[in-house]
Amino acid sequence: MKTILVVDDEEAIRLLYREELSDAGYQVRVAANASEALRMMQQARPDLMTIDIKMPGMDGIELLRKVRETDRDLPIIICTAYGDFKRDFGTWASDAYLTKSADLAELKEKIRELLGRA
Amino acid sequence: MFPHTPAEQRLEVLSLLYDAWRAISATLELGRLSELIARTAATTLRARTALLRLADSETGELRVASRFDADGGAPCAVADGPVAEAVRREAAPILLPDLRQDARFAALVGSEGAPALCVPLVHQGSVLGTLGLYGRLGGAHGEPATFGEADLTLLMAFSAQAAVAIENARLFAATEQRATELSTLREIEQAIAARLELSAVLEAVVAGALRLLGSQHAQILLWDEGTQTLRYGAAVGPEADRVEAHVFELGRGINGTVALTRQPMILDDYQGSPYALPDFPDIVATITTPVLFGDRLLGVLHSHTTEPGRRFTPDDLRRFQLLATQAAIAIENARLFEDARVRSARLNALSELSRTVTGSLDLQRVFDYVVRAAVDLLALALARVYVWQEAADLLHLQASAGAPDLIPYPREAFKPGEGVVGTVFSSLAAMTITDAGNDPAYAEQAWARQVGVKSVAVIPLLLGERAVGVLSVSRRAHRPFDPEEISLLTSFAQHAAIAIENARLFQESERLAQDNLLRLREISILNEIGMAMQGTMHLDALLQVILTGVTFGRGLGFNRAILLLVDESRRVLEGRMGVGPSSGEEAARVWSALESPSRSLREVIALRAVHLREGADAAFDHLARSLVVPLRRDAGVLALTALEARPSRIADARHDPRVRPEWEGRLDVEEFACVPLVAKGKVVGVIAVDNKFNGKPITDEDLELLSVFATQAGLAVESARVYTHLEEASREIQRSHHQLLHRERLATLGEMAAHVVHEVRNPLVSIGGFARRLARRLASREPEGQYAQIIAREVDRLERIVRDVQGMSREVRPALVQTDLHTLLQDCLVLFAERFAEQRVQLRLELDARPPVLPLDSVQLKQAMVNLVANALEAMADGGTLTLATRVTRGEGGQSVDASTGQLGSDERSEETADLPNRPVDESTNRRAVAEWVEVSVSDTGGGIPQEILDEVFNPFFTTKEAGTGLGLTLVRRIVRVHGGRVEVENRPGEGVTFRLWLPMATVPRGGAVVI
Repeated sequence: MKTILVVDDEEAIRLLYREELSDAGYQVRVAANASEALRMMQQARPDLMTIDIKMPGMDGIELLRKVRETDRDLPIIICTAYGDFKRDFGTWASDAYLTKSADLAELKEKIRELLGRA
Repeated sequence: MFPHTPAEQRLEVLSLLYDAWRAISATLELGRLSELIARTAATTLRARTALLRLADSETGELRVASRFDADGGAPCAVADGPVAEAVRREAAPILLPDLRQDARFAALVGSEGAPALCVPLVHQGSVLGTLGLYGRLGGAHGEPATFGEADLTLLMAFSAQAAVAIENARLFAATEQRATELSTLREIEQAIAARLELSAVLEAVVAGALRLLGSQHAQILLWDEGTQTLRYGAAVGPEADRVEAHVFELGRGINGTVALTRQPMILDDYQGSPYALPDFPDIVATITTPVLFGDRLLGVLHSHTTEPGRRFTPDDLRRFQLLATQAAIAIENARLFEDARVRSARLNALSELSRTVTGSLDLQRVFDYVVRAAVDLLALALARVYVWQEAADLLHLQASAGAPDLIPYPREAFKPGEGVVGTVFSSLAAMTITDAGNDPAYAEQAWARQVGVKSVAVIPLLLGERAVGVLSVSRRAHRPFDPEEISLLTSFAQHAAIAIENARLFQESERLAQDNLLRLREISILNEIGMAMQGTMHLDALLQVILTGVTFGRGLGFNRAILLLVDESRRVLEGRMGVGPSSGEEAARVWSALESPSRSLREVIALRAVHLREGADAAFDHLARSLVVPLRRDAGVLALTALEARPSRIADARHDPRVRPEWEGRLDVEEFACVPLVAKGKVVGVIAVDNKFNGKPITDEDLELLSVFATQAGLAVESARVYTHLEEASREIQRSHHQLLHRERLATLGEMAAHVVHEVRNPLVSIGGFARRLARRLASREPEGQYAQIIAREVDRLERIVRDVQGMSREVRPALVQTDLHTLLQDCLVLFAERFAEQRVQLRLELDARPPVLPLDSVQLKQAMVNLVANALEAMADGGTLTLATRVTRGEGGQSVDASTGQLGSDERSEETADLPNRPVDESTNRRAVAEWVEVSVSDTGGGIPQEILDEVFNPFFTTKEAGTGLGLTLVRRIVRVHGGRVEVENRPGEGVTFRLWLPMATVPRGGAVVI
């Protein structure tokens, strides 16, 4: 079973993702901020990460950069409420960039694609 | 046969005489009669030879008229001249048994001798001749071989009868000759009288003379009072040619002598006479008579013969004189007639000339008539009129007539004082030259020699004390111009001078009248146009009024006109309007329909302007509007007209270097004119006119009037432009004001949105996400499952609103990354999988076989596609088919109407970011750079958009549905545009709608970065 690490500062979102992705057959771990996520990464490397951009403390882009410094291959999906972060070159290091939506079909599709590829 | 008894003898004699009489009275022809007399006498009296001699009527000499020699024996070779002389002298017969018996006649016969019987032929006491019989044939019954008394008696009786017969015959011949002569004379007279032309008369006279005299040559020489010589008149016969060149002074030769003495003469021996001329060595005899009319010598009639022995008789002379008398009358008549004819022709010509001069103001016609008439009347080789041109101070050749080889005269112009022409012009006095080829005064001596011009007269065209030209006439003959001819030519010259003056006066007055007319026309047209212009300040309407005025038949009346205005910013002349029917018939139809006399110019202009607004003259208007001429000196005459602010007329457009094929050349006309539209000293435009259909030449007056008109029109155009500018400026201000408000609103909205969106979005994700979960879990439970669904749907709606607002408020510069469009589309479709199923909408994919990879901002484009798909699905609430298609095309994909930009509201347009192109595909740089386009289309079967709102769909905040902000399609277009593409909507009412996007494959719009 593939493990997905969901990084988001909003608890409701974390819950939603955990439940939805678990239903979809993944093992889901969640982190509420970047430092927690980095810690959990050291304990066990997940098969995929979703990162929210806007988070208190270290933001998602910074986290993405940090992860990429040690792990070039880990599939990472940037999930954000903003539509235009893509213009930030920092986001280019991600494998996918999604605008958050209540409809998780796109996210699930992207995860399936990235894991299938890996 | 010889009688023996007196009675028998008597009877025999009578019978013989009767037979002889019968024989000789059978003819009246003298020759035949003579023959018969000799034969009858010889046969009757058995003479071996009979000789009939007749006295010559002039010389009295007894000439042998006939001789008869009997057959059956040698003729008696006798020359009985002396016998006959003796008989005539004595008027008594001679009877000799042998001629040798008389010593006078012994020598006449040979040694054998011969009996002789010779009797006189006596008529009314005079001896006409003799009849002699010589030698006698022996009779069958031994009759005597000599003549006896009985024979004498018989012959005497016979000769008396013969004399009567001869006299009869002679009388008859004389009468007949007389009759012949008279009839010949009458015929000649008739022939002569029937001719009125001198040369014909003379020819008839010499032909008559030849007939009358039966000679070989006849001629008539005419007396020339002026030169006191005899000159050739006419001649007939083998020597006619020789005589032609001869001129006889008085007293020279036989002709000169007869002319001098006025006495007729016959020369029997021309060569032996003192009058013989060495030129005529073969003349034998001549007959010459003066031709006198009263006591006036008209000429000499002459005939001669080259036949040896031929002489002319007094009778010939008598008849010749008769002919001369008739000839004199005829010559005089002919001369009178000729004179009258010439006089009448000259009078006619003068009167015709006068009529021409007074009846015509066409100067050229007068000159042409003068030279023509001079040539015809005076039998000239050449006549020319030179007219003084004041400006050049030159005498210019104005008209010529005459022999074709003389017309191309080497000199077209003379300076005053130069040559005969110039001298006559300066001196005001006529001049004549008799041998132009050898006269240094004549300017073109060599030419005169070459073409054989000899006699020249030059007459000044005098107007009071000054000359206005000269009339120059030439002849090829040496004959000088006589005073009468000079007087006629002077008369012609006078008329020509008057004609020149008349024409000058007329032209002057016509010019004045024209000026007035012109001014009147000007004023009335300008006035009318001015009034027509008052009605409108709208530039286009004004241009229509102006061009209508230019092409209006009662106005300036040009066939076609184009108006171009200067565009200062682009430094070009731009065609703004063209008025001109497509054909002459069309033009006639248009104007005849409009130009009812009851309509005022103003009304016509208004009506015509309406025509034009309704699209009349569309083809020409289109041509006019396609003209964009750079304002450079080398850009043809339209540009030059504007740059130099001067009117130009092009007379030969096909060869004029100022006519450029890409601009003026497109008018496709021989002649046209351009005038500048000037306002306040500045050229604001150009009007070009032509007369393509009627080919009427564009005159100086036309051009002048058009220029005046153009000045007025220029002012009007400028006013209208100022007005339009003001109007535009005011509109612009208003628009800016609105725009400002709008922008402020949007900016505030944007800021707010940016702030709110993030805060709102995350809760929405949670609410929506859990609602979906609930909905799935409670799907089988009513009504909870339904409630959850409602929450989920409403959240969807909220999310879209948030997304749209976010899209509108944020900066739209795309982040372009090479992206696989098909993957992006798939990503979008994933979002709608549930809705397709829910709404039972079938998805049809028609994707290009080659997945297009192009620079895209995937977030933005995805948003655009999501909007389009969502719209399509909304239109098909009850099912249908959604077709998503992609197609890679080469070249520009957007030739069809750009509905999105073409139907923009002004508010939306102004909202565009300034540095982004409004119409990317119209930018030539893009058009060139973009070789490939991707066409993406989204079609639904939702029944289409009502036509009346089609124009609105791209407008912001326009929406027909309860769900949505109305920003969706606005956003779509905006996203597509910043990608350098465009969007079209194809509405199929009752069927569905297709939105079609065109995206460039390999280039980006200005301001964007190319990212590969």
